[in-house]
Amino acid sequence: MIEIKGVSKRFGDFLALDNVSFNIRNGEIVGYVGLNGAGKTTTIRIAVGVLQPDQGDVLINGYSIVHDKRRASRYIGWVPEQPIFEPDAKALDYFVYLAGYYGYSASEARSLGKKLLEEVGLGNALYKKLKEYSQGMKKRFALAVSMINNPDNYLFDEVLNGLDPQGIAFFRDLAVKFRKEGYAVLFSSHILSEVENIADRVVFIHKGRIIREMNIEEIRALIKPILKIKVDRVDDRIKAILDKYGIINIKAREKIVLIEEPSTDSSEIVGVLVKNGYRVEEVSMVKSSLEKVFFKIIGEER
Amino acid sequence: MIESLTPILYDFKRSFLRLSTLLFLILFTIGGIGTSYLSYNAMITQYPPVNMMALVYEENNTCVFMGIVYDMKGELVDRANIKFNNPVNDSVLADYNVNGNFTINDKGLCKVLKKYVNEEKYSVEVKISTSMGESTLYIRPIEQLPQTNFWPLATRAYITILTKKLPKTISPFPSNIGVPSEIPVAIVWDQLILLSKSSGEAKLVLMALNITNSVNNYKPRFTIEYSFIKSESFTPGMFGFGEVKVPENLSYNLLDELRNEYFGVYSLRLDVNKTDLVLRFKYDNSSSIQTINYELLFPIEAIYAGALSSTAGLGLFVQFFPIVFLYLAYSLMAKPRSIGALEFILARPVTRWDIYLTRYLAGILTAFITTAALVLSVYFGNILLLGTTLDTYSWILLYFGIVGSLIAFYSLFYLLASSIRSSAYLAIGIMFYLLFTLFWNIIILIFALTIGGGFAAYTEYTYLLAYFNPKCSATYSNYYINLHYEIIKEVPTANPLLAVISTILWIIGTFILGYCIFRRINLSS
Ligand SMILES: Nc1ncnc2c1ncn2[C@@H]1O[C@H](COP(=O)(O)OP(=O)(O)OP(=O)(O)O)[C@@H](O)[C@H]1O
Ligand SMILES: [Mg+2]
Repeated sequence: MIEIKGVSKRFGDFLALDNVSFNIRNGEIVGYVGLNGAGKTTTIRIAVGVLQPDQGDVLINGYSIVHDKRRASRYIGWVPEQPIFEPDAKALDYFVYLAGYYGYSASEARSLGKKLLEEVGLGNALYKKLKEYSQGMKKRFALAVSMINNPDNYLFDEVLNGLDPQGIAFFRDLAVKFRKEGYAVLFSSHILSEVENIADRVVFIHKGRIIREMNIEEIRALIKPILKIKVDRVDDRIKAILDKYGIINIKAREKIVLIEEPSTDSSEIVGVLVKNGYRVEEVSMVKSSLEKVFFKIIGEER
Repeated sequence: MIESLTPILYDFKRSFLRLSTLLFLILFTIGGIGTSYLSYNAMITQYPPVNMMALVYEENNTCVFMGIVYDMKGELVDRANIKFNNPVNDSVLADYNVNGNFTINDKGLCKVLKKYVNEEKYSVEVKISTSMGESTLYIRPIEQLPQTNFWPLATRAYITILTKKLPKTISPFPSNIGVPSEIPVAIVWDQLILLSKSSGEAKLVLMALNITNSVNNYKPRFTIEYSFIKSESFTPGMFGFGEVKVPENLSYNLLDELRNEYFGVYSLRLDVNKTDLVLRFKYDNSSSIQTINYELLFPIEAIYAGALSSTAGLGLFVQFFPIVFLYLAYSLMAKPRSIGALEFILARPVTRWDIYLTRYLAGILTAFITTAALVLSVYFGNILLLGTTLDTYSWILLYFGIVGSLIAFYSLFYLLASSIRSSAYLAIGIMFYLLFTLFWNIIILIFALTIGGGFAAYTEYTYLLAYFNPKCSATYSNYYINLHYEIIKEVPTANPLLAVISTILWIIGTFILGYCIFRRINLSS
């Protein structure tokens, strides 16, 4: 359970976070979505305790990251947007070094390191130097390190960004597994569709402020299917005929009829039109995009 | 509680137990050995590392070369090589390998010496080589030795080889003592080596010739006795000793009985409350007295202390080793912070304060341990090289002086490392280093010349401005060691309390200021 409570942060004159509050409950995957520079990374860095908030606090399993960091840090894993390690260290050595902070002896840490690095798919790069790691490998390495203490809270900052399909699938599966185990997981992204099919809930941040929190069902609800039919002519009658199948929108000049959330199959509607003497030239199903929804949400705030 | 301390102890352990610490340890040990060698070298430029007192005599178709070879502490050496050289063309006239106390019979030597010494004095150079070092002496014939006037049967011809001349500040010339004016029966050379001024430990090297040995039917009993007196007003004469009134009723201790030609090294404990050693040379019912003033004698330990603390000794170390701590602060703080690696570490169960403190303490512990390695290697190096060391007071002062100054430098570098980018860190760090070490003397000079006092005030400004330099504690410990051995005079502007306060402020001030910055600084690259 991660509770972000009224966090504000200034960089000089610039207010990067303005009273940001939201929770990530156990067994829940939360998407954290905002445009570039919205403040996602800043929020996450404050939540893991590497950046000091000007105001507010973050509770990890009830422990304050500001006042009780040593304890709070034991319960949180973090995969940074751009993980940075000591470049000249070898992966397993660096893992052993970091595991020491959790009280692991070198030999314990070595076997744990081999196991976890294997688990995240770095089994064949144990002895590579970290500067030879690709961006995706660095993220996997950071994940392995995050799992040292087996915490029940995870913060993934743009973790899917720049990963290959295999990597994306890996992190998605992992998140689902974590959810099943009752962990709290946060995925940040600047693309709504990236988190749409994984998150239970999405928190929208814009210019440092939380503008909306929505369940995934609410978001999906905003995505309406539209039946687009091109006919040989449009007249007054066509609206009357189609009215009972949904909200009708007619573009007379292009001879196009749009039916929002059609109540029945498209073939049935086409059948009705043909029966009434219209010639149907083209039928397609279009979707209002997630990104449109996203911008609409942001726009609403403006 | 224990669980929450584990990461901190771990971070400290990791910061301290690094390859570089081991390298520093080796570096400082080598530095220490180098320092003891350098200070030994600085010492033997002022003082001969080995010395010889010897004589050659010819009698009844034999030629005897006898004497002793001793080091600067008056200890007989194990082995020495003695070469008689013709200084004009550097040819070797005679060559002997001898023990510390030797007698050699070689007719050839007298032939050579007669040829080269008799007419042109000092023309034979005697080179003594030992494992402790080399020294060169010159031969001088004893011309004034009475031969026929009173003791017609005294037929020996003596040639002495005197101890090497020493600078006036170190020891008076070897004095020709105990030649009884009325009955010349013996001749004595001496050299008094003061080891420690505080304890009065000294060595008296003596050569005495009982010339009555060769006089038929006259065998008086000779004894040498000694005592101490405090001379009222000592006026150094041309030969390093003045006229001293010796009371009639002075009681003496027996030093030795004189038999034939005789060489001896005696360990004496000089009375530190008195000023002169009195030697009484007794035979039959007559006696003659000679005094040796040791008030102005420069003790060996002071020569060593002076050499050790000079710029040729530990001064060199204090000048250059802050660089090591510049690097340490760089690798522990500046570099990982700048590349952003510290941020990922900070996501472990440690706080910023923990990281700041543990890496600082790792540097401090390094300073303590490497300085211990340095001081110990200097200590053992000097025991091996010359068998003399400073007293405990001076070693403690030396140790804390160096540790204090290295920690002050480290604190300054750590402040820079926690607050500025690593590229700028090296440049600014080196600038500060140069300012406080190489350029500092120029700054003192500028102060002395512009603010007042001129060159004469240089020393006073040295101690006044030292408070503004992280080197302060080293400067002051050096000052007090030199003062302790009376190598230098008290400087009115030197204030030990301010020196201690200055060092503490250098350390604590930079540490706190550094944390104030580090606490808020952005750790991502
Ligand atoms: N160290 C810093 N100093 C000054 N400004 C900063 C700093 N870190 C972040 N900012 C500013 O704060 C704002 C939020 O940055 P943040 O990195 O949190 O955005 P983000 O939502 O993660 O963006 P992105 O999607 O590009 O990762 C940005 O305008 C950024 O310029
Ligand atoms: Mg970001």
